[in-house]
Amino acid sequence: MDPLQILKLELKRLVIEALELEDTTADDIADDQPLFGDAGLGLDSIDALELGVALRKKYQLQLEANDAGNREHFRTIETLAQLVHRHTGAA
Amino acid sequence: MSLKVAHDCSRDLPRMHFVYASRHGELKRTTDMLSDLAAGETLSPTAFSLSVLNASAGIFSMLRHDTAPATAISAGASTFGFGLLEAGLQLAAKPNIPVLFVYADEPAPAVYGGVAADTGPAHAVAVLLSCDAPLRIICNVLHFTASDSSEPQSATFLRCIEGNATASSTWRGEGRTWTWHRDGVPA
Repeated sequence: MDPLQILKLELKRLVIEALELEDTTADDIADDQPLFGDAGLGLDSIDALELGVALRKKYQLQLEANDAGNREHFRTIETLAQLVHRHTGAA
Repeated sequence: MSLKVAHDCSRDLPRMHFVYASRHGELKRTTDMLSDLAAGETLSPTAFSLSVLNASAGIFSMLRHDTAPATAISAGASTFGFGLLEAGLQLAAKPNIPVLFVYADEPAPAVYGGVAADTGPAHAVAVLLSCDAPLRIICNVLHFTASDSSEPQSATFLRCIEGNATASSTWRGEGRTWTWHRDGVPA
């Protein structure tokens, strides 16, 4: 598996664990599925904060609360993986 | 746990009022957050948003898409009794609106010591109060200062409603005697 695939799987597990999605497995989350809103995984703004804390703990990723790019970064597992990949690659 | 009994008991009742009683509420969550703070960890936003006594009541109203009034009660070892009394009074005030009473509690975290040993193990009870209920319960509260009961109030109450048609049960604590007894059957 290429590193980005592994990272995506890792992020799915992180989402499930951090948000205590009891009946969800990594297989249930598609890479391009919207994480927020009723059409996607259904996460809300508190979940976004929780996910931000989890990403900081695991990848030392610092997110600015008012960064307009956050909405795009947090859109799907795919966009989140690109963000983390850029961050850990640069570190 | 509290959401499950609340849901099982109310089903899809379209209109009701809600009384939620808990002695310790989300104290475990609060204690975990204090431990995180002491350890210099970042607090969980989810835990923070749910760290109020009546968090379950809030979540329940969101799940039901219900903006009806909800009351939260905490009254020491007598939390169950005062919560049920509040629910009964709300029904008496507006007899056409059923009242869902939910009691949920778990022991206080160990760091608090034995201060609340009589809460019993983690448990939840839901009672739906309405004017056409098949069972009528009468509650008497008297001042009394003999030795305290050793079981949680909720367990005493359940013995009464699960008993025969004239069953009664009594709980003593915090200077009061609570007696519940079943009163015939207005079918």
